[in-house]
Amino acid sequence: MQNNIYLLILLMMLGTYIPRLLPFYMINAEKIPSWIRTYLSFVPYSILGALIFPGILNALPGSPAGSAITGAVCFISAFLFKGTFIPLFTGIGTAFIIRFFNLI
Amino acid sequence: MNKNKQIIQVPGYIVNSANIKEGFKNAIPIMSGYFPIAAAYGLLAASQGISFLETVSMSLIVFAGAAQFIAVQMLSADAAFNSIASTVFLMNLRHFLMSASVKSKMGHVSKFKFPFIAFFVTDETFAVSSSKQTRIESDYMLSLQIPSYLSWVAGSAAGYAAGNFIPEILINCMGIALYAMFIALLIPAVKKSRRNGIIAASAAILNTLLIKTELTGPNTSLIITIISIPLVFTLLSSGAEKNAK
Repeated sequence: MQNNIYLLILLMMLGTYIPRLLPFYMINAEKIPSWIRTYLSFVPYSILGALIFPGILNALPGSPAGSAITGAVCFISAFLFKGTFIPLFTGIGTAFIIRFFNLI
Repeated sequence: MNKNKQIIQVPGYIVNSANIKEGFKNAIPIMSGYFPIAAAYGLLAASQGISFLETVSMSLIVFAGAAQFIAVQMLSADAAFNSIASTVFLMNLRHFLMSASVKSKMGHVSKFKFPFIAFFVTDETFAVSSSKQTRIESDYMLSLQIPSYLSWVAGSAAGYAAGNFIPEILINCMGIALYAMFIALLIPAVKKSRRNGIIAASAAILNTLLIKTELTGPNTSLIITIISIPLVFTLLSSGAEKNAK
């Protein structure tokens, strides 16, 4: 791994803290133009979409089919249950079953 | 005017234990939600060869759920620090709007408290505090945020430590944890509005195309995708608004 991870942590801290802090010191923070609001509200979904695909197809290294099945289980359980907990554990559980029994 | 406010604040301060109690009470569901996710983060970090101190420091210093998962994933893919940091920055830009909304619902707050309240702004503490009908007091906010923060940090440490006791075969399954988390964050938004799903799907398709056609490396493709897709949809939605008028 390159460089010092603490440098990365510092950069991440800046990238996280500045957007959290700035509005507290802006007089008209409530009056952000609506197109910027719209743009910012779309960013998280784009990031999530791009982070899930194509990466998820390699979630179980060397097993694209196993990865796809595990991913599908996560999607289904996220549709059925609220919160992060159940999708997380059904996903890990499915991956474990596939790995343990060497299914795919 | 300003002086008057400060005089009123002093007696207010003594009565504020009710705010603190309410903040703690509202923190409980957030704490129990954070702990297992933070544990999954700690476990994932352990499986990627990041040290205990680095893992916990990230939770202590950055305190941003999805962004920490992203960082671990990108680190394991050997991404450059600047592309990790810019992805994290874009991911967390949404907090700008949340902070703005929290601030507008707060009364007079000492300038010394702002840096702390701002540091602890997360999706969850924002959502809980903004569902309050009354004005948000700083004592309420901090007693909601600090336990949530501690739960996140403790969960990261516990998850990392658990990595020592969990069989290797299970640790090898942790790769899915990150995607499960992303999916679990995305689906509720898709249920709320189909447009969110279309945006995510477009980003997924563009990112996959860029990578599979080898037009760009995976990190460049991510940055291109997360800047351009929201822009396209912003233009589309403003176009749709104009048509409606």
